[in-house]
Amino acid sequence: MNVAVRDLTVARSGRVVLRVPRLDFVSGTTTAVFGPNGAGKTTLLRAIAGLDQPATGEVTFHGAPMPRSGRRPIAYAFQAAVFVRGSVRYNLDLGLTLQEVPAAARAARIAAAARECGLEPLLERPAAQLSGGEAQRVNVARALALEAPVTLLDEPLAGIDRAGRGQLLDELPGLLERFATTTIVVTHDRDEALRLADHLVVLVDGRVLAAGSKRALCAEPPDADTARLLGFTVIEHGGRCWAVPPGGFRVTDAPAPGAMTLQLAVERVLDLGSRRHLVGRLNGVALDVVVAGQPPVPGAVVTVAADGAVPIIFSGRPLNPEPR
Amino acid sequence: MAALLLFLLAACRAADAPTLILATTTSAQDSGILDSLVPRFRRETGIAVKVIAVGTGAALDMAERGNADAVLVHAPPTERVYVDRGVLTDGRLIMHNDFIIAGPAADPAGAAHAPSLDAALHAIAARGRFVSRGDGSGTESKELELWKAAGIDTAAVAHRERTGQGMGATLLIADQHGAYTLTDRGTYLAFRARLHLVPLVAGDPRLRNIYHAYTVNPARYPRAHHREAAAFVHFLTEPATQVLIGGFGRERFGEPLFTPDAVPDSAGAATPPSGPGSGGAGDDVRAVVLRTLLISGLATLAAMLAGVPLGYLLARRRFPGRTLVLTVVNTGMGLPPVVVGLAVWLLLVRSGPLGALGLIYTRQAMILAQFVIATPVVVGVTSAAIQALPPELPDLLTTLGASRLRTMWLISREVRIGLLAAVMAAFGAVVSEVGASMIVGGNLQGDTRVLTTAIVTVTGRGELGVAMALGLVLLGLTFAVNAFLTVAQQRHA
Repeated sequence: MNVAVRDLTVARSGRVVLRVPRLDFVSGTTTAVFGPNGAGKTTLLRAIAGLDQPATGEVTFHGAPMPRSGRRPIAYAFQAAVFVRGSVRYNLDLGLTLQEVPAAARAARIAAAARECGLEPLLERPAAQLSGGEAQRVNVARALALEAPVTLLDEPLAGIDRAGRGQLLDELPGLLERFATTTIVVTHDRDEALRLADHLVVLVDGRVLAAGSKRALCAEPPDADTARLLGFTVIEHGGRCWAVPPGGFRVTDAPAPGAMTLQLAVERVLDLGSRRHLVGRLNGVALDVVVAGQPPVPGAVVTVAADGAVPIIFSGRPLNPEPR
Repeated sequence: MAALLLFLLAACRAADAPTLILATTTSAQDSGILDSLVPRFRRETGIAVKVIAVGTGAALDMAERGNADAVLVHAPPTERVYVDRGVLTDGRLIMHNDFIIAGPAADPAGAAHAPSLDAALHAIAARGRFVSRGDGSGTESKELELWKAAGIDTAAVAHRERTGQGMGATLLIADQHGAYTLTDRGTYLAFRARLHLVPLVAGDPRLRNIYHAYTVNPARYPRAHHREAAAFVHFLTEPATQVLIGGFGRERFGEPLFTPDAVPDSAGAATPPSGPGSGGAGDDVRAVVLRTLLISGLATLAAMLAGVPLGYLLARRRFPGRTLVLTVVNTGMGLPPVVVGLAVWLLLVRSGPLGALGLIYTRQAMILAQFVIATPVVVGVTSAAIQALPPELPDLLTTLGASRLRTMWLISREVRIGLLAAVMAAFGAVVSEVGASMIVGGNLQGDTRVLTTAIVTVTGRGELGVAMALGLVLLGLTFAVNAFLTVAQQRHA
């Protein structure tokens, strides 16, 4: 095990905001800590980095407690891209200097990080003058340049415009491969989590709802909340709970024998040019399904088939929350 | 922190030259005679005299508390009380001048034509307006003695105001009010050019203003510098000194201010004095400027060394009572210098808890007082600047592996604009304050006199033009320092 969290609780003003009985981050993997805003994702990251004193429990790195002062095996890119006064180069250099990397090696490492992260034109620019997207890129590059055993990224794609975000999302897995060993990335975005990580930790209200490999969790979401967070639609059918994967619903006139079919009451039709969406309710659950050809009019009832539905345990929350 | 400060103070304490503290009256100080006698005494004996000018009452009180070694005062009836109590010994008559009653030239009370001093006082009480020192000085003591002798109850004098200020200020107030006042002739002559007041009553034997010098009783005050004090009293009575006293003031006023009265201890030919200095701040302006820079600069430096880490901790740490501490600091930013001066004086004065350090009336004491004034300013400005930084920045430096000290250094670098603002605010506060420097430094010529206290001194002597010029020098000095700091600050902005 690389990073291990045991019996960790973090309290703020006497109130427990995070409770993690056990979590392991395996060497050489990328784990996404994923959950809604306010779930305690950043709190977990700060506790791992040794920035906040936990109320109980500990974080270990290769079996030894994570140091809470001085040098540590960690590179941390905070959600807010903050810099010290000076150029981008100076900011990249500062981290390496503090890690006591020799001067010659520093120049080479900065050059490599700048090249890989596409920062070469920005190196001599004062960090204070970077645009939001540029700043986030430098923020990530500064962490990567440390080539630390554990790389922590807090919402690395926050504050970037759509195009820049897509580009960095494409590049990040390669960059992590090149510079990082064990990565923990915090995100509230399901796509980011699924695209960047091989392992997922689902965090809700300061508790770990699910943790495990991305494939296993997506193949069999353990409960309705996790399923919903992973993009599944949770429905009740035939007296039990089912999770239907994203894109699993399809409008059909002739369902295959044995397939799960349901009746969708169409409320609205969204015309996105190349495709149309039917928005309606299915046993009370809001549903959005792509339809080919001529769409039915609002008020119509159509048959949809749910492919790949898996039975799940009802986790005690309302089954049909209002659509966001 | 406190230990470090004490160590610094002890370390920078000047090599123990023999000194004595002379408590004397403002009228003697304002006349400027001590500025010509004290350097001469130092040349002859190597003993430095710290002249603390207060009212006679306060001077005698200083002696009683063991905070002075010698006194030069002019209230014989009061002096006798202290001699009888065993506070003062070795009393010697030194010199006299005379008091006059000055008043408006129109003399509405007709005091000038009164047949006697008592009659003149009755006339003033009945028809005039009188301004009294009201500060427990020898002059007030004489005034009260005269009213009493004339059978007048001061409480019944309708128009008698008490200024609580020195002779020069009291003369200016009497002048503006068209009132009568009792003044020593020396101060009157020094201020004559600015006054419409004229001498109206003079010459009565009771108006004689007699100065005695005493040492404090060594049996009662074993810590007093008795040897030095005795040497100084002896010096005042020496024929050569007496000649100097007899000639003092002729250059500036065309007539001597004092009549020497001392009976020499031993026979000896009086050698004529060589060019007695008079006028000005009694101090080289360049030396005063350098001293001002040195004292306020060191105080500011010390305040930065202590205040920046404190400001850093206040900005970064969360602890119970933090808001209270911040409130105290913010209150401290507006601390009245004179209160600080008083507190430091009580701490360092000979009878105080740290009196044994011998720091009272030294530049070190001034640096300490100014340090106390400047530190809250530095703490307040620093912590505000650091709190304005993104909160993630210190965390970032921590995760990058910066030690606590390194983090503090890097953060300071981030807020250097704020830190330079702190330097300017702190330096500006201490270089321009007068209360604390006056109280703990004693405004000693050639030693602890700085620009602000020099301004007070020359104002007290009526040299208002010189005072204004010194004010401009002070303004120029702060402007130059601020210009330098502002350029440094804005270069990185």
